[in-house]
Amino acid sequence: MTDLPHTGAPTNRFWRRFRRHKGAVIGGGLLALILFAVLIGPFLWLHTSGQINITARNLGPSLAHPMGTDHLGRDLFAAILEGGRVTVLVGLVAMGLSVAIGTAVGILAGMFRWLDAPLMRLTDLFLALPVLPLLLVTIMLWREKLRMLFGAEAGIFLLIVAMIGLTSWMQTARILRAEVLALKNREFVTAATALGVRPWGLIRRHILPNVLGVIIVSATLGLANAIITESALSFLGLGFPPDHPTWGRLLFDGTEYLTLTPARAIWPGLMITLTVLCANYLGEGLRDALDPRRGFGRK
Amino acid sequence: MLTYCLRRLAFSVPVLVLISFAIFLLMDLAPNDPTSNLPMSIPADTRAQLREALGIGDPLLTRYLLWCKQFFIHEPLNWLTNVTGLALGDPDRLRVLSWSARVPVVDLIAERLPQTLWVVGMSYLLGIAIALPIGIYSAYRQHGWFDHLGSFISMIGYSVPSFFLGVVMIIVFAVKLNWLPSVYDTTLRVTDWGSLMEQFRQMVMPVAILALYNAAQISRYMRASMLDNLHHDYVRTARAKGASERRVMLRHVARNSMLPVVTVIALGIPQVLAGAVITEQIFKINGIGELLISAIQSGDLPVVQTLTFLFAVLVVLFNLFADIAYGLLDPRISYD
Repeated sequence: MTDLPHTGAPTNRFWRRFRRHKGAVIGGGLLALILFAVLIGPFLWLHTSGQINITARNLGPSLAHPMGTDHLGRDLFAAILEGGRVTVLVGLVAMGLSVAIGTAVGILAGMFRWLDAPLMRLTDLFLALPVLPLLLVTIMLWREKLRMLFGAEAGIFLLIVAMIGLTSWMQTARILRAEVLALKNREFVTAATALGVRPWGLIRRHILPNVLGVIIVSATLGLANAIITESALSFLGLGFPPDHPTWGRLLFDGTEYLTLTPARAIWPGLMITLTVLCANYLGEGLRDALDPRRGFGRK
Repeated sequence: MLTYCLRRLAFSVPVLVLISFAIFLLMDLAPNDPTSNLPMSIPADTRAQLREALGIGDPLLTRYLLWCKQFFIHEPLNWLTNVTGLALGDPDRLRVLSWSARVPVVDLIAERLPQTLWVVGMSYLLGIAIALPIGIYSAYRQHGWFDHLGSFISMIGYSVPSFFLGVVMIIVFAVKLNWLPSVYDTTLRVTDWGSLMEQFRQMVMPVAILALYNAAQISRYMRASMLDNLHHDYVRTARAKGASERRVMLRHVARNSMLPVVTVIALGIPQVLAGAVITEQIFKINGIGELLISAIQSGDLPVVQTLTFLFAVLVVLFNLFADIAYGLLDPRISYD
């Protein structure tokens, strides 16, 4: 095969286009900063979220406590850093699961004609599920059992991650199926098939590298969705237990002290919003950069 | 068209049966015994009745079919009896009872539904009314300042979780400024001007939050759909005929762009209803979302089952509506 002169160009073009989308660049940078902060922040910060200091109750922001303290004098900034770890971890793992299922279903449905109809009917069926009520019901019914099996934190973590992953893969599957169907008609796939490449080899060498961009966009938007869902569950009191507070749980706990210390509700909410906003902007910028014809509408 | 509708309708029946079975199975296979969570205050004979109603001890499929019978035959018959006043069949058939309130679940839902529909319906209409002009104008002046502002606001509306926005609004408007009540009072009866204003004031915050979210989503679709249509030949033809910009935009482009948006609006209705769970929790509105949460917390299985299934029915129903509306609105699509 001869090397075409513009082999390296698509990547450069992608970066050039991505950099033009200011929101996406800022969003990506901030998101990286947030991930970094919750990852190493708890090691570096002076306080831990468990330290009780009755003399320093309900303080406003100061140098020692940048976000103030709660009714037991615990540092809110430390709680935000530690809670962010759980929130971000739930978001990443649930997103990974959702993208993995969506990719598998989408590629299988696109590649194998006999699997197409059953898999797409399954996708339709999942799209017809009332997600939020179902999540609440499942968590109510299975929480105790899993808590006994895996411990308080691990049990609820597994349950929430599995449920979010299982109920959010459908869009990814649909988009990937369409991409794969379009790719299957391209010459290089026909050529590879003619050369005797097996279906699995075809998927690995030719299909997957070509749909990677779409998968990354799905993953970014999926992260935002998973974080919102987890926070909503925690806000409704059906998420993580109060001794391992995520941002959603901190917000929920903060709502009881709205008249006294509104900061306790505002900071966690602001962190959720900022993270989700960054992820959405990043996903949008990536998608626009990958597909120049696209405006900014979703789907 | 009629055959298409009938075929779609026929397809949604197995979907609903599957979903109802899944919901039943989910509750049935759950590790804890459904009656073990019940409060001790329930008398023994009621408990026995409950167990009978649940048919604990029968094989799985029998239990499922009995549940279906209760749900799909007894309840509709009762409803018919209430509406027409005729006595149909055996009057003491087993009804789906709430365990904590000890009244039929259907009555509970009928009591809670108006509050939800009122708030959610208003916010959805308001959201659509805001979103359509914004979407149209943003696409018309693509990359203009209005477009940038509009997409920024819709991105915010899309990303700010409703529970956070609700809390912020309560802090600002209820706690600090003391302009609006933070708790929605459903016992309020609108009788005169004062109570009308009171009703209006308590609806402002929940409606505004839901409307912002809906408007953010719908305006994105409307803008994208307008942009898809703007560069078609028919737009050039309309302009060449000498039609005014306003007429080209509203009569030609907007009308054609509405097609996919109508689908999105129809598909969004069940989601918005389910999403009201959160808004109702923030403002303590006693609608169906609040009913679901309190039923979950008290382990009231029949209420939870019924509500979850009701949400599933709504999703399937509006999917059907969306498909049929699409066919009716777009004459190019023929299903036969």
